[in-house]
This record gives sequence, C-alpha cells and structure tokens, in this order.
Amino acid sequence: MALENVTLDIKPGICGLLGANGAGKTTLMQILTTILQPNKGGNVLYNGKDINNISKQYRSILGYVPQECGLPDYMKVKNLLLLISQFKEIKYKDAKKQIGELLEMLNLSDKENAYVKELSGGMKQRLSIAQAFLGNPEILILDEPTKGLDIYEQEHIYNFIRQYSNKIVLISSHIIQDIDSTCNSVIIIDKGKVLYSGLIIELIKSFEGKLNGTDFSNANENLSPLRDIYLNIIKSNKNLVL
Amino acid sequence: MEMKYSINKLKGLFSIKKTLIYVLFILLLFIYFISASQGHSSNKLRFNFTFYFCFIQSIIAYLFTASELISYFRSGFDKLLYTYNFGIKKIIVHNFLYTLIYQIFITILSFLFLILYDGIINNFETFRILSESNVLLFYLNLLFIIIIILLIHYSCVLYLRTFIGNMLGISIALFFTAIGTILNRSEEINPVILVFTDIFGFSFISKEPLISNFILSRIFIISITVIIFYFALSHYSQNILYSYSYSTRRICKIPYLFYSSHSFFSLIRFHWLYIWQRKTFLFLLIVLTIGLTIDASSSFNDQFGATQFPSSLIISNSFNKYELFPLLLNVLIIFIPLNLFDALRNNKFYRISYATPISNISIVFSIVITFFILFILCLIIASGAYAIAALNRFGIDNLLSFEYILLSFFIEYIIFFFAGCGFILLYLILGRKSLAVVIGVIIYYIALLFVFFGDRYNHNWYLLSYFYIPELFNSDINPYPSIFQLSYFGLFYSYWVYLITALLIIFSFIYPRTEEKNIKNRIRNFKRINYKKKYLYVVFVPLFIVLSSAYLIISFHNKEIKGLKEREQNYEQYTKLYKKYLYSPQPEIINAEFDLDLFPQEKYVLVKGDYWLKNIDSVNIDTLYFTMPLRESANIKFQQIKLNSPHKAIIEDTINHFFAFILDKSLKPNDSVFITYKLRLEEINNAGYRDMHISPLWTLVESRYFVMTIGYGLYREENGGKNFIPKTLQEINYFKERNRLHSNRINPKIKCIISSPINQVIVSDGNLKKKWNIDSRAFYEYNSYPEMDLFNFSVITSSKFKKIYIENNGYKINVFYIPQHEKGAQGILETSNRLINNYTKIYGQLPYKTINIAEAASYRGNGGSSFGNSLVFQEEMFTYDFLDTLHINSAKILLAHEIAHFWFGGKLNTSYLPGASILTEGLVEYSAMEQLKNFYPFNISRKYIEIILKRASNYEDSPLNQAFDDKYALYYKAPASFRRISMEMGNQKFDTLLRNYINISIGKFVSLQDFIYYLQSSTLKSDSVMIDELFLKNIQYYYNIKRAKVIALKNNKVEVNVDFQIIKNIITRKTYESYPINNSELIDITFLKKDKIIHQEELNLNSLNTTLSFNLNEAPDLIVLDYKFKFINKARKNYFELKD
Repeated sequence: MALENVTLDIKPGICGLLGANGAGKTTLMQILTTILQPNKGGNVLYNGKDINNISKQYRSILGYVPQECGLPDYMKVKNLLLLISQFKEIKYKDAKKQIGELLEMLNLSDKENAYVKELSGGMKQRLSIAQAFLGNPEILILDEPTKGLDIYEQEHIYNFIRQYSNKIVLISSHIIQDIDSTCNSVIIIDKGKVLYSGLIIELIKSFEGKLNGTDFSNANENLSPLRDIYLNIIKSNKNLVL
Repeated sequence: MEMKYSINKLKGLFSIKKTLIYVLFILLLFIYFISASQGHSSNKLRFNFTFYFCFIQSIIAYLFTASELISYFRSGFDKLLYTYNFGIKKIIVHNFLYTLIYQIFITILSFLFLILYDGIINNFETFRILSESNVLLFYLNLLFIIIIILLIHYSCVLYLRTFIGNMLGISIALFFTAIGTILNRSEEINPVILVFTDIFGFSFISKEPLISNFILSRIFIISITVIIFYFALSHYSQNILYSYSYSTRRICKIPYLFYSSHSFFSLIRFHWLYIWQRKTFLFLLIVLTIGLTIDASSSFNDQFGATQFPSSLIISNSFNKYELFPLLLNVLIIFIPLNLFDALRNNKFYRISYATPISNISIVFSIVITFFILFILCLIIASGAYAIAALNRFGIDNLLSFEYILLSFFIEYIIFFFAGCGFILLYLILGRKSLAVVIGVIIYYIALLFVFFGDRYNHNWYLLSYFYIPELFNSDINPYPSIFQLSYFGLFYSYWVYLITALLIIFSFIYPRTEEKNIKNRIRNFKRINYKKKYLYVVFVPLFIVLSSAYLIISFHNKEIKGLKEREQNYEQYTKLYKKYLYSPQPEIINAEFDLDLFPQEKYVLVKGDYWLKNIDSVNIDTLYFTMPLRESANIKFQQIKLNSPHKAIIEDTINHFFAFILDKSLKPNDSVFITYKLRLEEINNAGYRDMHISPLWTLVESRYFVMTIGYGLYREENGGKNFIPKTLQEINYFKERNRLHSNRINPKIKCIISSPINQVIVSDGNLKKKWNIDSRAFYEYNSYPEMDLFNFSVITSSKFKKIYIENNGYKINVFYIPQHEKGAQGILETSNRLINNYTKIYGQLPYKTINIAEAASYRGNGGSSFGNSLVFQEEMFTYDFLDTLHINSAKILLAHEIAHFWFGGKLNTSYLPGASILTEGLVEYSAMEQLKNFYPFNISRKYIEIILKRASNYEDSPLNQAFDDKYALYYKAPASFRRISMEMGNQKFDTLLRNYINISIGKFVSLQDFIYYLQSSTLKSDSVMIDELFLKNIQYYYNIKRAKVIALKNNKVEVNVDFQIIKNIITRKTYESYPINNSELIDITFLKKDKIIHQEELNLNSLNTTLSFNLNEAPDLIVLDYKFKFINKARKNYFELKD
C-alpha cells in the first residue's frame, strides 16, 4: 500500500499504529526500519538526520518485530538470540545476560534449548519480540506483535511491552482495545493516509460529547470509546488535526 | 569468549545437520579416493566417478546453502537480519563463503588424512597422482558449480526441502556408484559393497577386514544411516503425529466414513490416507527400492576375487547381515517405533481423543498395526528389489531358491522387528528416547561382537545375541517352501507381535495421558469403547500374554542348545578321560558296509554299520575302542553296538560316544573281528552347513555322521574350535599316527545301501552298482571301487534330480541337477569335461572312472566341495553362464579348483603337518589359475591373477612352510609362489615334476618339506634359491614405476625414460631387512598403447634402481612392469599412465 503525504512526529512512549487491513501500516513500518525507501522528497528523520544517510547507526538502535517473521526452525532459541545479538553487535557476555532476562520476562526460560520448530505459535511470537528487545534499542517497531494469538498470550505480550514506555515503541494493530490499553499515543492510518497522530487522551477528549449515546465518564474498561472514535474518523476519512 | 561467539554465528548460518552431511559426503568421497587409488589402470573409471561424485556433492552442498537462503527470503528472516545491519548481499556472501570455508576445511582435513594414509600404505605415490591429475580440476569444478547454482538454485529450492535434498544426494550417489559398478563389472570388488562393508578398502590390506576394521566400519555405517534416515523418518513420523495432534479440523474434513465408526480401523484408514499424502514417505520408499535394487544387481556381478562363493544364497551373498542390519536397524527398529511410542507416551494423541470418542486402546492398536504394515511393506519392497535383481540376473525358471530367499529375508526382518520391540521396552524402562537409542546402539554393537565371535566359533550366537528364537536356531527350513509355509512362519513368529501389543496396551494404562491421571476417568474412557470390542480387548490382552509366554517357555524347555562352551567342555572331558588310549594298538577296517535309511519327511536317518576289523600289527590286541564323534548338525543316538567275538564292555559312554570292549580272547595278528552298530540321526537342524541337511526336497549326509572310528578320536582336538594342531602332536610323527588312528592305512572296501522315499534320486561316492524299489522306498547300492578313504564318502539325495552325462577319455561324468537348471548343468558338464581332460594330460589318470557332480540347493560350505569321486555345488553354481568368455567367472574357477582336488587331496594325500595343506589348496588354486589360460585371453585372466597376487602380498606372517590354515597363505601366497616357480622353471617342466610327485607319493602322506626337498633336488641351483625364498623365508618385493617421460626423437621414434624403484626385504619377526636381489631375477617391462602391447623386454631386477631409457617406434600410453605377474609385489603399483 502506498503512503501519501505522511507527516509524523513520533516521540518516546508507546505509540499505536491503528488501521484496517491494507491501510499501509506495514509499509510505514518497513520505511521506518529502512527496509523500504521513501520516494523522492520523502524522508524519515531521527534526531534531525535522515535515517537512510545514517542507516547503520540508526539500525543499531532499532528493534523490529516483522509481521511474519520466519525464524529459522533448525536453530535453538538461545543460539538464535545469540546470533541476532551478534548482528546487533552486543558483547557476548552482555548478550547472554540479556537473553536470560528477556526469556525470563517472556516466560521462555524453559525453552532456552528448544528448537524454534518445537515452539508453539505464541512462543514463537514471544521469541520474535525477545529478539527485537535485545540490546535495549531506542526504537522498537512491532508489526502486529500479537497476531494470531489468544487473549492470554496477547495480554502477556502487552504487559511486557508496557515496561518500555520510556523508548520509542511503535505497535501496529487493527485491534483497538490493544492500542487503547497499551499505548499513550496513536496514529490512525487509512488507505495510505494518516488521519490522526497524537495522544489518545487528547483524541478522546476532543470527541467527548460529539458521539451519540457515549458517556465517556462511565466508560466500561472493556468497551473503549476509541473504537467509536476510530470508526468515526475512518468514516469521515478526513485528516483530524486537534 | 569471542571465539565461542563466532561459532554461534556459524551455527546460525549452518545447521549441524548440514555440517554432518557435508562431513559424511566428503568422507564418502574420500573413501572413494582411497579405494580408487588402490587399483590399477582400470580403476581409472571408478576414480573418475569418484570425482563426479564429489562434483555432485558440491552442487548439493551449495543447493543446501541456497535453499536456506531462499527460506530466509521467503519467511522474512532476511528482512529482520537487514534491519540489524546485515544486508541481503552480506547474507548471501556469508552463506556461500561459509560453505566454501567448510568445504575447504573438510577437504584439507581429508587430504591430510589421505596423505597420512597414503604415506603409510603407498609411499605417497597415490597422493602424487591425485595432486597431479585431479585436484586442480576439482577446484575449477567448484567454480563451475557456483555458476550452475546461480542458474538453478531458485527453481530447485522453490520446491525442494532440505531433507529431500539429502535424499536426492544419496540417490545421486547411489546412481553414480551403480554406474561405476556396471562399468567396472570386472573389478574385483563391488563399490557399493565397498562403501557398506569395507569402507577403507582394507580387504586389500588386512587379512581379516572384519576383525581389524569391524568396529570402525560399523560406526561409520551406523552414523551415516542414522543421519540420513533420522531426518527422513523423523520428518515422516512426525507428520503422522501432527496429523493427530494438530489436525482435528482436518479429520473433520475427511469424509465422514473415515471417522464415524470411532473404531481403530477408522484410525488406520486415516493413518494410511495421511501416509500416502506424504510425498516424503513415498520418496523414501522409492529411494530404498532403487538403492536396494541397484545394490542387489551389482552384487550379482561375478565376484571372481575368490574361488569360493560368498555364500550359497544370493540373498546372503549380496546384502548380508553385516551390510543390511545397520541400515534397517535404524529405519525399522529405532525410528518408527520409538517415534510412535514417544508420541503415545507424551500424549501427542490427546487431541484426537479429545475431539472424538476414540480411545487410547484404539490408538495403540492402530499404531501397532500400522507399524506392522509398514514393516511388511518394507519387507515387500526390499524383497521385491531383490526379486527384480535376482530375476533379472537368472530368470524365473532358473531360480528355484527364490522363495527361500524371501523366507530368509522374512526371517531377518522378523529379527529386526523383535529388536525394535526390544528398543521400545528399553525406552519404557529407561523413560528416555535418546537414552534408549544410545543404549540400544551399544547393545547392537555388543551383538555385532557376538556376530563376529559367532562367525569364528558358532554361527548361532548371532541369533542368540538378538533374541533367542529356538525355531530359527533349530530351523527346519525347507529350501522350497510353499506360500502356506511362508505364511505359517510369519504367523508363528507374530506371537511376539501379540505380546508387544499386549504390553503396549498395559503400558498405555500405566502411563496414561497427562490430562487423565485420575483412574476413574480412565475407566470411564474405557467404558466408552464399543461394547463388543471392549471385551475383545479384555480377552486378547491376557491371551496374547499367555500364548507368547507359553510359547517361549515351551521353546526354552524343549530345545536345549549346546553352545560353544558346552561343546568345548565336552571335548575337554573326552580328552581327559580317554586320551590315555591314544597309543593302544587297534585293528584296521578292511571292509565296511552301511545301510542308510533316509526319512526326510520325518527328519531322521537310521544307520547300520558293519566293520570287518583285522589286526595288521604284530602284537595281540586285547581291548577295542570305538568313537562316534559328536556333530553339530544332528544328534547322534546310539541304538546298538555289538561284536561277534565274546567280550566285556568296560566303557559305554553314551554322552561322549566312546566305547571300550575287552575281548575274552585277544585278537592275534591277522585275526579278524566283526562289529555292527546302529545309529539314529535326529534333531537335524538343517542350518545349511556343509555336512548335513535333510528335507523332503534335498538331503546331504556326510560320512562323518555315520562312520564310527576305531580308537581314540584325535580329530576332536583338532576340531576343538581352534583349528590347529596341538603342540604336543607336532612333536610326534603325526601323519603316521593319523594313519593308524583314523583306521585308514588301508582304504577299506565300502558298500553302501541307501534307501529313501521312492521319488528320490540318490547320488553317492563310489559307483552305482544297482537300484531297486520295495514298496514306497527306493534302494541304491554304491560300492567304492577303487577303495577310498571312509571320510571321503558322502550321500546326497534329491527328489528333483535329473541327470546328464558325458563319456570321454575313459571317464564318465554325471551331472545331477534340479530340472530348472539344465542350462547351468550343461555348462558344468562341458566345462568339467574340458578340465578333466586338461588335468589328466598334465597330472595323469585318476584311479576311478566315474565322476558325479550334484547340486545341493542351499549348500553353504565354500560353494562346493570335492569328495571321493563326487563334487557337490550349491544352487548358485548352476545359474552361472559358463559360456561367458569376456568376464572372469567365479563358477569356472571354483569348478577348476574342486576338480583339481581329485589330484591334489585325492590322489596326493597330505599329512596334517604345518604347511601340508599348501600342497592341496595351494596347488589346486595354482592349477585353477593355470586353467584360466584355456578359457580366457590373457588380458582377461591376468585381472584375476593380479587379485591373487595382490592378496598374496598381504601375507606377512611366518614363512609358508610354517603356515597352518591361514587363508592368505593357502589360497593366495602359495598359488602365487607355485606360479612363480612354474614361470621361472618353465611351465611344462614344473607340471611334469608335479605329475611325477603325485605318482611317487601314492599310498603316502606327504608334507611340504618333502615336496620342497623333491623340487630342489630336481631343479637348478638358482631355482632352488628361489624356492627357498618362496617357502622357507618370507621375502617381499616392493617395486614400482615412479615416473616416466616420453621424448620425441627423429624418424617418428620416441625415447621413454622410466624411473624405477625396487626394494627386496625379508621379514623376520615383523622386522624388515633388505635382502639381496639375485642376478637371475628377471622382470618384464611392457609398453602398451590402447591396450595393445607395442614393446616388451626382460630386465634384470637389479637394474631397476636407476632410470632407464627405451627407444620405441611410437609413444605408449601405459607402461607396465611385470605385465605377466610373476612377482608378488607389495607396492601394488606396477603401472604408469602417460598422458598426451
């Protein structure tokens, strides 16, 4: 999906990238990870510098969970993480320590010596997340990290991500509740256009009273007002600037 | 620490699996290099194939790499790596670079080993040739391979999974091996067999490949099979497991029919549906079939390397237990059952029973039955492969033992199956699959040790080492069983299957699904099963257990087996008790009459023996001693022993079969006494060995089973499992003692009346005097004329015999054969006629005028044996093409060998002194080698001679005159030595000497010393020195052509400069000292172009220490030193190839 006139400013904190299937979430994320290059005139700046000019330095502070990551089946969990640590140029000793911690946090400690192919879908996803968090990267780009997982697995993963609110964390999802419960800011994207980019609280505030039959003050935790807001924005297909 | 880190990186890019495959491929390649480098110029082809094998290996290695790369790209792993500063180009470069590094590393290692090996064995000659000719080419090819990969990798990898790639690699390897085999038909060794049995080609170097390289070879083979089949089969079996554990939805998609009944039958159907959906399994089957067929076919090539057939049965010949066991052990025994059982234990079948009300029991049953079907399927495939190969080779009409082959195979598979069950039990006991495999494999190696020792002493240990199966041990295997009999065997042995099934059911309850630890739930589940079937199970479990146990108990109690230890104890006891009678004077057998009643259907033989004994000594004889030796193939039961003179029995030992009688009136010189005895031969185990077999279709009884001997049986000590003469006996003038002890100083007159069912044709030694029928039995009377040794008397019967004969030169040659083998019988008749004519001309007339040659279906022995005036050959002998003059035919050599025994061994009697067997086996083999001249052109027969000489060069023990029954001394060194004498002395002169020696030795027992003395006294001094060196010293020659160069001269002539090397050593107690070369030692140098001799001249052996120049009319392409193969050369490289 091509992106058009996308201008974004992502600050530290957990940011959700919300959009329907095919809205351009993955494309945006691949641009942010330098896998794809923006067209002429387009650029991504990090600390004021074009990431494509400083790609090596930029990638070294990047953690990425692709949407569909085929981790090599024949490798052991620990070896895979060690391998990726090496690509991330983390010292062996540190890598070993970090791997231990990450696996512990992601509940994979007992699978340290298991082969990737032996892991269940949820475990593989957790492993995919673990590799992204290796080396304590400044920027974390997580492309649908909970896709295909059951509710418990999803909760587990979001709980883990929440601990990293001091980093730039970009999570893409089409599940509004996840974004609502995990992120403090949100980017709403549809058909290659960014419709909203900003704090969730502000977004909700701006819609307060505007939507029929919605009483945000008594909002049930499980029924996020964001859902209605999102649908409203998508329906109007207008760039929402607050 | 950092280094460890890099290893991890390597691990990331290369799986251990891939690494191991590389290593194994390179190892295989390396083995081929070694084996190829050992031969002569005709090995070039194999060498080239080796090279292409390596080429393919490289392609596969790079395909693996490419496939992994593609898998990165397809799965998105590359993108992930890219974000971590590891771009696509880098990934590709790294992958290929590491592949290359791996290859180079392993190749360097291989070559280092090769250098070491070559240095030890061939003085670096092979390595020099390798480095000059092919190594550079190898790396050029690598470059070429990379280009090819760029072109084909995408299309290949798109569809090929890594493990299929492995299988493909193996298939290609097999293909090239097969091509190599076919093109090298005349090679002495089958490359496939070489890989599986004698991977380092040690059979050339070591005398006993099985002993010295047994463990090494096994480790190699088992490793390779584990690696290959583990991946293939674990993949396959996992598919089945996942079909249960993850595919409940899929099951619902399968038509209702497949799961509605909820029975285990539906599971089996599902199971098989799934299996057939898996191309991997089909692929495995195809590979297995192709592999086995190729191997079987290649094994049927004439293996003329030895005069003896590898074995009687084609099946055990071509793919015997040593080769097949490790392969099938892994496939059938370890992986399938263990994986399935593991799934059961680890609850991988949970979901299916969760989703549908199918019980654990049903699953267990379905696994067992599926496993059994798999097992049968493999059996059918393997048997089918052999059937194809065998039928292709022999044709259906000429292969009577085909069913027997199937049966043999079936039995072997049964053993696999039992062993598989053993592994499962081990797993149950140990609780860990990996541990079970490790321990299982260790046990397997221990079992192989038993095989090894079993082969040396008691063959049956081999079976015992697996599982004790009395029926196999004492099997009454009919060589031509019907399909019903086959089925009976199958059913009979499947008691074990029932037992294992029952155990599986029980264990599935003891170790239940983790979700249902509660016993009540388990019982509830059990209640869900279909009402009728439930009780069926309840009844079957105990029934199976009771039946199996009863079967086992009955077998154990009824069939007492006497092992080697017991037999040795028996010999010891016998020696201890009765050796004191060794020197007691005893009368001689003047006349012997035997009545033998054969009852093949009932499997016993009744014997009545009558001896007329005469005191030919000058002293009175007071006590008579008789022994009937204990034999392995049958239980000999004494029914009666009676003397016609008044006597008192003092010893009646029915255990050791020793009897002593004090005569009331002592036997004066020239007095006679008559003894009669009755025996019953029973419990005949029909193990297929040479001495005894009885079945409705084929019977063979050697006289050792019914001829009682007079006096103390010294032969017991000889045959006490050690096969050598005790030291104490070497000191006495043993051959004279033997004469007396075996009661055949005078060959007695023998009359033998044999009866059998009316449909049997009986062939025996001696001459057929008359035959008649009474009721339903046929009677044949054979008389020995002229008299022959009692122990040379054999009896053979078969209901299917047809007879053809030829009368020529005063001889009548009868060939008795099974009707389907007419073509082979004709060939044997014609060839033996030619051979007897030739031998008669050289060595003189035989005492008897009738020669009987008979077929014995599964007669093992050495493929054939020579008796008084008869020869017995196994069935395979009758399936050879005797008219083939292009390929050396082992059957012809065997025939020439056995017929020559009528002169050397028959007419010329040897003593039992050390070295004496050389006068039989050595001269017989020499005669057979000489006869090749009459059947093949020299360029074909020299290949056989070369093999004999190569093997002869491996004999490094004591000089020939001190050798006992060393195979290498008897069959290789001795004939090669006789050939050298014959060539130096002149063929005719040597033959005349041999003939005269036979004539002057009639009635004597000769020794090698006698013969050497005789030869030396009748020849020139130079020959005498040579004889001394050949028989009394152990001399070894090392000569080769180091290099040669062609220089073009004017007038189209060329000068060839040849650089030789010559060493002559004497071996004394394993030390080597140089030994002077005699001036009279001449060697030929032959220059060939396109296999035609363009120049040949004789050189003094001494002159080889320098570079010599030869002027020739044209440039040769091959220079051969000792083209005629006169010398036994240890360096084993007597040729040099010149390139354009």
